[in-house]
Amino acid sequence: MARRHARGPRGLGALLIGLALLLLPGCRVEHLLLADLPRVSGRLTVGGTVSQVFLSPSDGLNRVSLGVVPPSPTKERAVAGLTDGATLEIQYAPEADPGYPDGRFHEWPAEHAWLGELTGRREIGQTFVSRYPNLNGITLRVATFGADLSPGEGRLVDGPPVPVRRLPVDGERITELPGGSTVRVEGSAEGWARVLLPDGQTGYVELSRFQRLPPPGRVNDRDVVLRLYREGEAEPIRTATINARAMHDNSHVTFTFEPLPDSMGARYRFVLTSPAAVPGNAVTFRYAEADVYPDGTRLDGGAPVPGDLIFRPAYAADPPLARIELDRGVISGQTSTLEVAFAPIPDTADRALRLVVRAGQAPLVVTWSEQLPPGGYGLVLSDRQEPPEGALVFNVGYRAEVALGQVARGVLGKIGRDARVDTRFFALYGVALVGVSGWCGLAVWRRGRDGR
Amino acid sequence: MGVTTALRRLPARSGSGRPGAGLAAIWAAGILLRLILAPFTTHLDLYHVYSRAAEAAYHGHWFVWTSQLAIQMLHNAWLFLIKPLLPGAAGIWSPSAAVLGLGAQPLEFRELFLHYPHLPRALLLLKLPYLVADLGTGYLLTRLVAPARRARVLALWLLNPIVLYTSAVFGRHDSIAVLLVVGSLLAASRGRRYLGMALLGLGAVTRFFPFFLAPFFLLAYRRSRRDLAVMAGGLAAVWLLVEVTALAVTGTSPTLTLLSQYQHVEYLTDLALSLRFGDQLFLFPLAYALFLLWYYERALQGTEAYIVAGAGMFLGMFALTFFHPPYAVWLVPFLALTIDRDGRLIAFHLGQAVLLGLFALHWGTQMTTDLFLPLDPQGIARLPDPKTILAAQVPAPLFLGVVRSLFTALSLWMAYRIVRGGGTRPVEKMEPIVDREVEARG
Repeated sequence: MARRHARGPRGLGALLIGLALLLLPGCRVEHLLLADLPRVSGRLTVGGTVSQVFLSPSDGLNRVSLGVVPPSPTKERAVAGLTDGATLEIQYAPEADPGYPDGRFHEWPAEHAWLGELTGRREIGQTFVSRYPNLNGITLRVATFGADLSPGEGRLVDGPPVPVRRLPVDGERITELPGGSTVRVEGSAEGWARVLLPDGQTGYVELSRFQRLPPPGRVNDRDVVLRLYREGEAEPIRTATINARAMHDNSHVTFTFEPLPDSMGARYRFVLTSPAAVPGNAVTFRYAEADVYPDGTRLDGGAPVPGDLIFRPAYAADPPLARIELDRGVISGQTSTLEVAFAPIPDTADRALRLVVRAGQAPLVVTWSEQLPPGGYGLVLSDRQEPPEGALVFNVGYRAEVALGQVARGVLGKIGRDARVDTRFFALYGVALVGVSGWCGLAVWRRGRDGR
Repeated sequence: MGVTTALRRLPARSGSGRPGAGLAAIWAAGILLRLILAPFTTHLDLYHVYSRAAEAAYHGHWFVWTSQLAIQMLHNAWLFLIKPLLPGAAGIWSPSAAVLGLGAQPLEFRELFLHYPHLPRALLLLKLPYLVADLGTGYLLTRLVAPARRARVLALWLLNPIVLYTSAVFGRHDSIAVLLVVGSLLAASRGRRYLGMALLGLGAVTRFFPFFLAPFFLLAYRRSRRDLAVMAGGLAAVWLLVEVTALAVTGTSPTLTLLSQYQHVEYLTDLALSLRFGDQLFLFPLAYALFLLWYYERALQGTEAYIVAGAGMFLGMFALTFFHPPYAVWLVPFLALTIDRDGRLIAFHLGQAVLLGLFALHWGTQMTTDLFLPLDPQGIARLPDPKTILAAQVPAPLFLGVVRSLFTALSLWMAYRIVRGGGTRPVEKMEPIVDREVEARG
């Protein structure tokens, strides 16, 4: 009997150790992006493609559920009839990755500032981590000190009315101005002129839609050179040059170079110079004084300085990470979704991904929701259709390794750091733990001794 | 079958000898578990209440939060006292915590509080009142029962996973109000009804749960109609005192703020049957009123009847209303006093605890993995949401709905078993053990 008692705790100990050895290196966990499928707000008929960007929290993406309007219960025949050759692709969407300092296209936070003219021997730069493959450029925000135009009167091209947008490039169309009319121009951004409308509002008109513009405040015509280095190396691996004349005031500019296929996860630094530029004939770039990009450092004259340049790496189009024929899917009667599974895709954690649904022979009817996925992106339709204000009803699943050993190491490391910082507390805490454990042990021993 | 008859199925205690060793082991294990858990776990709620307290402790704004004035004042005073033991903590609190509808922000919690260099010390100190309240409640519970039952009652409270989750892990202040309610029960059982009433009143202004006990308390301990009126007046006076004080100091009524702006009040009426033209039948108020009328009609009096009523009422409340898992701590004290000698009821209660653990998945990381963020904020935050793991196996709403239904079924069945056993016996046969014990001690 006593022997059995002795074996019990030993067996339990062995079981616990075995379990720990099994779990600590890592355990495979299946989980979803969203615990609950978003509530359906409406239907959408897709003739071309519909795409949806989302932030992926985990590696090992291996299934997608897409909200559809099923024609009949879960019969394969019905799936083929529904999808009719439609496909689904999963791609990286680096332009939407919120991890880089260049945020949303139209946002110009007041806490960011201009660096001052880039002239002569001045070198500015930034270190960074490329989170995607096929790095082929660096986008920065540039100002030309009024080299597009200065405030004054402009005249629109003769012909049909000229559309005016609330914001440059892709802003909402707010009105039209008659072709050939004269308009007050107040400034420029992204290659669009900011015009004053008769009702006092301001809007944006493309510079190319003017036959006459007020003269520019200055002329910048010197080259700006971007050199890209692997971090720690002295020789550049890529160089890109843009003449300042091609840059617009208050705009984004992308220095493009040959793609680097192995750029995923690699550390780089880029350096900008404009050796021939002189004061009055130079451009400037935007930066943040605060550390807005923890993965890299701003450089000035080759030395690290506080803050970060406002930049975003650009990437060449990549083959999709997965392409699935939706005819292979299964319709879930419970959730009204078309579910497709495939081999887990590595390197999807903490990255922006895009689902692209391409209609087949016939239009595909999908559902959309006002609830946006992680990242807050709305759906985008091809064929110039106006999309609804929402996102696709979808979910994705993962089969990922959860490194419990790493978590355990992190926890022990944190407790160790805390103990080093707060030695007095941890000393008292240790004494209390030992004291109460001793008391507990003694009480249990006494209880055992008394035969209870 | 009476509750005590059912309870006699289990031996009161086995063997002979001192009861001290078993009790001591439970005390030590209860303290040890709390010591282990408290410095390394927390929920945003703890940060909310102490960020509001920081307005008082660091800036002298003592009445910036009035809707739960009593409990807030206690936190204000406690933070003011321990402030010297928290070096460099002035900047770790949320400035928006006292803004109604805004509260402390998760970002502030992660960036300011979780990165405080003395976080384990802070967590242990901030939770200390709750841990002391837990121990106090445990002690009072043992005073309410005969020595033979003490170990089991104490274990049901002190080692209860629901209690550990609420006070030591989550960092909810409900333990303090529970202590007041159990203190009130002990006082009343020893004949000090007015003290009991005052403590219950204080409990009710601390948390709203004891408010639902008050009618049962009054009925259980009344001696005459006049007595009933006096005690009801006393309770109303406690409420009025808090109300008038808050009105005088801040110009706002805590009760009206609570009723008109707190979502928690809606929890009590979420379960409803719809009638015509928007007319609704709220199930919890209906069940509560029926139970109260039954209790009144049966003229049940005394401590044991009150305990049974309390256990039944809380089981009914948690069965029929929406609640957050830590609130379930209110189930435990009255259950500990009623189920300790019925193995089946104890098993049912363990079932409740397991179902509550699963029910916590409803809130995703918030009530599960995030509680362990102080252990390693970056590492723990990277763990997948348990609810999304669940959802990968089975539709989460379906699973959680089933869990919730089972919890409700278990709770209602336990309430039935407890009330059927304990509430139907005539008053004269219900002899509270403690009352006898007190008499015996002279």
